Amino acid sequence: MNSTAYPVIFALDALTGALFLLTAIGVVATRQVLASLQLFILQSLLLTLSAVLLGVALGSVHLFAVAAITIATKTLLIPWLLRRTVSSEVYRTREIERVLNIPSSLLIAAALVVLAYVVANPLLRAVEVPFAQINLPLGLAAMFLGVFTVAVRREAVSQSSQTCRSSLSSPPPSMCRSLPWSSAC
Amino acid sequence: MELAAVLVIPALASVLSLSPLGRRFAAPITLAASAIVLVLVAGVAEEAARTGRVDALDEWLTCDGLGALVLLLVAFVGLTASLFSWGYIRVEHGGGGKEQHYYGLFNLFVMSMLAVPVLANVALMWVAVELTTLLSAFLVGFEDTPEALEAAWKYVVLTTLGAVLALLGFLILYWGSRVAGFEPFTWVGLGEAAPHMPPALLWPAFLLILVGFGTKVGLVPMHTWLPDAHSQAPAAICALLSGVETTTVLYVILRLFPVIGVAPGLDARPWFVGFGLLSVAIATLLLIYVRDFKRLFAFSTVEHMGIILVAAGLGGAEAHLGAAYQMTGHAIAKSFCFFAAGVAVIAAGTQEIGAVRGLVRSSPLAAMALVAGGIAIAGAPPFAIFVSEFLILKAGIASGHYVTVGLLGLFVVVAFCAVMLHINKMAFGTPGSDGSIVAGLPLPSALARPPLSCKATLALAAIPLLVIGVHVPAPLQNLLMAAARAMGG
Repeated sequence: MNSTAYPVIFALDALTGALFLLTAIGVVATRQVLASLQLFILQSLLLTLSAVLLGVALGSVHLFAVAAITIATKTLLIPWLLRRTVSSEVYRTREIERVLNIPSSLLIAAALVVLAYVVANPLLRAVEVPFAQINLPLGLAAMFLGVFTVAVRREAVSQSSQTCRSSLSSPPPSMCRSLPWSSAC
Repeated sequence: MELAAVLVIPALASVLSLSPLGRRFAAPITLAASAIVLVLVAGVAEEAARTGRVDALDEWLTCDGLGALVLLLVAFVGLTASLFSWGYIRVEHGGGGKEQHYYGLFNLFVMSMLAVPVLANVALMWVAVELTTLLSAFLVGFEDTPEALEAAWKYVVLTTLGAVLALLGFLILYWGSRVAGFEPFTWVGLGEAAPHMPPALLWPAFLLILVGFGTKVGLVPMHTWLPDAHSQAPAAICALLSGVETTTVLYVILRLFPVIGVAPGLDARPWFVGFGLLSVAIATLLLIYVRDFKRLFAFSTVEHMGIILVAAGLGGAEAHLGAAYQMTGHAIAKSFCFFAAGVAVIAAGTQEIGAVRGLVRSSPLAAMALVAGGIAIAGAPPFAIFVSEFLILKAGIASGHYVTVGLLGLFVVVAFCAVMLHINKMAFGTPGSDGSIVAGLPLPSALARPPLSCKATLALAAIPLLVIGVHVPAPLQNLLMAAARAMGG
């Protein structure tokens, strides 16, 4: 199989991938809690679309299952849980406290995307699969950006720990100020 | 069939613990299930040591020497931990719903750890490893203090990130085995496919899995969650986390070793030795400065994992036997240490090393247990870890890795001194001397007497602790040899 067999789907996949990357970077740059949640939902929809496109192109039932699971968990279940456990007041007013300012985080995000392409390159040269040329580096980039997003945000911790304690209106405990990997001893 | 039963029994015990029956009997149900599992696993281990591998349900459940060793260790610590929990949880949290919740999760957590060495399919095994994280996270945060919640959060975030990296590694492995034209995605199938896979795929897969699962094993520099999680959980859970969960995940990394070993042009050994030595070195430094005695044992776990990795990387039958022996010694000694720490926390009312002096006068049992456990994990004769470390160093000298052996020997000696210094002060020190904290010393509560089940656990766990350093029974010896063979290389 090669890319000329499915010119339309190939182009659509590339477009979906580009938008997907844009939303991933958007999440890094967003300040508002609500906006980042909406971006996350949009990103999950694009992921679903990507799985559907590949499913059509490769005739794979498994990929449709992937699409179904993605839409059920990432666009419905997780946003529903987050909205249920964190008060709406947090969503309206709270800005996400971060370690780095937005321009520098965007620069690092761009570097991470380049890194994803560098890492994926030897893999792609080893095996010729047309769709992998687009999707593998993008998947890697999304993973790196996800790790990076968790790393720069302080409040992401407080959000989830509030979920743990299900105390909705109390101020976030001071413990949540620390990054997950700070302080060894 | 025993292999299937080993997974079904803890699941049943979990359901029973959460049912109305569990309101009064959750602890005995869990204890009985753990005992049955241990008996079944002993049978499996004996057979695996004799025949090399045990299969059940076609290609779904299987167990070779290395898997059987891990299975046996998990089952043993599962039994001692459930016995310890009986009194400990009742004393600390009372009975009722919270207790049921604890045992429901406890059984599932043990089941997920038993599943890792038994599942033949590599993808399912990844699922089992991830389940150990998810199920134990709630147990880590069980005390419901801010520290415990933070520890649980760190634990989940970091180990899940690691698991994502490892998943990517396994996907690339799967891709590689399909490209090479091999169908079942099992460890055996991977071993056959590896020589035909493109090295450009095998190599990043190995590194991703080493770093990803290395996070969960607690290899430096991905270890930062470990001392928190392993010090904040209830003592019985610490014993499981530190004693066998780390070993269970390390087992997966060791499994990769023969797979990479047969591939042309790749050498995993420098990576194993490098990561291992770094972990031992940093853990040794942290052991010197540690202030909390449960953290002391957690850092010692990082050190031991490093030693096992170095042993695997040195290669050769003798070093691998040393690694298998070290895994056994670690699981038994480290779980004992955390039980001792649990009793010491009940007796002293604190985890601060600086606040505990002269424990031997106020609680001789806790002090004796801490000293015995401390000597055992530090690696003094006549305990197993001395023998295994000696074996590893000897194998390293025999194969000419003088620098590695020199560094490892140095760190092991420094770690020994650090552990013994802290334990010695706690057990025999005079209150008020050498900078100990006297003011604000929490008075031992009314519950300062450790519950009967905790004492019984210490007695039960002390048997293998004292025995295997002096005499390894023939069946266990065969199992260790079979495990060393399965590590290949």
